[in-house]
Amino acid sequence: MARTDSSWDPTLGDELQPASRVLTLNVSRISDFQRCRRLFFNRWVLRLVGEASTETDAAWIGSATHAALNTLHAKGRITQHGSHWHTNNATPVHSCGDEDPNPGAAAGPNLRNTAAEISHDPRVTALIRTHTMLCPGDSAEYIDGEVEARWLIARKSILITGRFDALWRYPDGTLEVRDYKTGRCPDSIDADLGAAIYLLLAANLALSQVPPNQPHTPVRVVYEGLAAPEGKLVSVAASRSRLRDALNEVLNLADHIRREKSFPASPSPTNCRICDYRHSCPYSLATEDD
Amino acid sequence: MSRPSGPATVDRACDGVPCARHDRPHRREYIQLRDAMRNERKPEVEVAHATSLPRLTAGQVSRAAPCSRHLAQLLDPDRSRGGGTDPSFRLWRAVHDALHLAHRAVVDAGGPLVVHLPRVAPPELGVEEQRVFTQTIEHYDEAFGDDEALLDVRSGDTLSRPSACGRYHLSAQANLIFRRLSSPLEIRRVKLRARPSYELRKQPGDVALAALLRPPNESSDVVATVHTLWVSGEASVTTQTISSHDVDELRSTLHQRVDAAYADPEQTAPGWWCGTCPFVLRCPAIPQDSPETLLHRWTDDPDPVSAPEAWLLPDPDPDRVVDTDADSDEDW
Repeated sequence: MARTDSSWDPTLGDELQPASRVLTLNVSRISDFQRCRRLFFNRWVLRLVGEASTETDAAWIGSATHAALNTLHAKGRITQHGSHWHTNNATPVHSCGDEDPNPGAAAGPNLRNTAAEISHDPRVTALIRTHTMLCPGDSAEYIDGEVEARWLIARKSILITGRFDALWRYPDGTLEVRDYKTGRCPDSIDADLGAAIYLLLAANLALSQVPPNQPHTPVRVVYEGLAAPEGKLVSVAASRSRLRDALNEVLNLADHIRREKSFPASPSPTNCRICDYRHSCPYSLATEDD
Repeated sequence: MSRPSGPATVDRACDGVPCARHDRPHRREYIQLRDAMRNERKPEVEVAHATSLPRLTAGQVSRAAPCSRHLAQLLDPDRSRGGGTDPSFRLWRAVHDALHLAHRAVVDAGGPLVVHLPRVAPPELGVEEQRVFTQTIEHYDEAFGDDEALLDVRSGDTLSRPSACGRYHLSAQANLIFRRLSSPLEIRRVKLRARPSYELRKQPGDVALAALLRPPNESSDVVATVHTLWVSGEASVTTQTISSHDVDELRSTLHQRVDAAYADPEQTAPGWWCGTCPFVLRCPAIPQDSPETLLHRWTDDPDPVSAPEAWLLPDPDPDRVVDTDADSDEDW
């Protein structure tokens, strides 16, 4: 179909066209863009498959742990610091008492497969055991897991999306977003862009629960470091200044993405070593061994 | 990599000569069969053209499965369809065009001949795209190899037919559709990504194609065979069969969905699919306060006493499938 918009650039994806389509932003897209614009172009504009697009072991452990925690919370199995939770390597996660014999059956094939395999993987079991030490179940109410959150900034044609691993409500009304970290967990998330996006989405959610001119509830985002031996909790609370900074950061990035035409590479040994396109990118600094 | 069943070698010495060693047709017979097959193509299947009826693809309908508003927008003949060139499409198109041309050359030459697959990527592709192109052709060759028994190949046409209810055209794009002697329709799909770990569902686009291309006198229960080549990671081929039951089920699903969309065109069902929905900008189901409103309303000293008693989050959908493929046009 012919297009009359003179600003239309056929080399760019629809979503990157200025003001013509909604630009969807989430943590993955933003972190890719910040890491290397050529990576962003390959993955999100051209949608090319990369060399390492098969699931890695760490990614599998992460997915399995997230799915298991979501299933267990949804069934009310993790409460009061895990008092309903029996875990040792010999005890299957879904084997006790009134268990559904088909765990995860309602949650899609990935989750179904994952739940069935949990009991066989001690690494996942260990992470879930750590979670029981950090779980706010004895002092807060579990609202939901894997909560899809969206915020459309219509004037800018930007759709911010995110998925909360878990959403809790405390007796004082505080809304808490939990993000499970099965790998590295930072020591502070005051300047973490992912946390900023979650804050924006959670704040928007909190405001949507009350009529205009009514007070809203506090909101905070907590990263739950499950790989640390004793577990680690890192949090940031929503404040007007934090939200303003987050908004500025996200809107600036959106402008950059929309203005970007050449998507130059940002080669560095660190970036390139783990890049999915390291063997085909002409600027890659990755070695054969990588 | 396992190959789908089928002939795999060509003996050039047999061209045009009656030969007892092979059960495949030879040139003269081949040309007769090919022409007969071309002539019997279903007349009611048409290459899509301008029509007052909206064209719906099965993939479009299924992608935002529960959202009636999405479907109602698709059915609205006055809506803006947008357009433009999606660069992620050009590599996929280049691969399919190249494969189609290679197979078409055999058919037009009055085969059976060796299929010569292109080994050089089109220069208009970028460096990374060229790598994927070359790799894909190698995988394709390894998976399917020579294809001398092919009688017809179609690719690139958008086929459509008015639905029984007369409210829309069922539409599907033909990509690498093969017809052979004494075997059902064969659809080959090349997926430029890794094979997912979950159990594959039959793709509604394939079922729609099978429905559109099924010969009128087809009595076999198996309407089509679909071979999917996954080119990333461990390249592999998966094979599915599409039955008459699948076709009937798709028709029924489409009918119900269209009915629901006409009955309540404002009914929304937000989910992961909103991220790729072309109608999200004016969707009432998506929170869309301005940033100024957010900052204006936000206070650093909220009153916890006034916190709402219950959060009105939607009930979790027990049927929700974890999205691992939200951006594909073809997937359910």
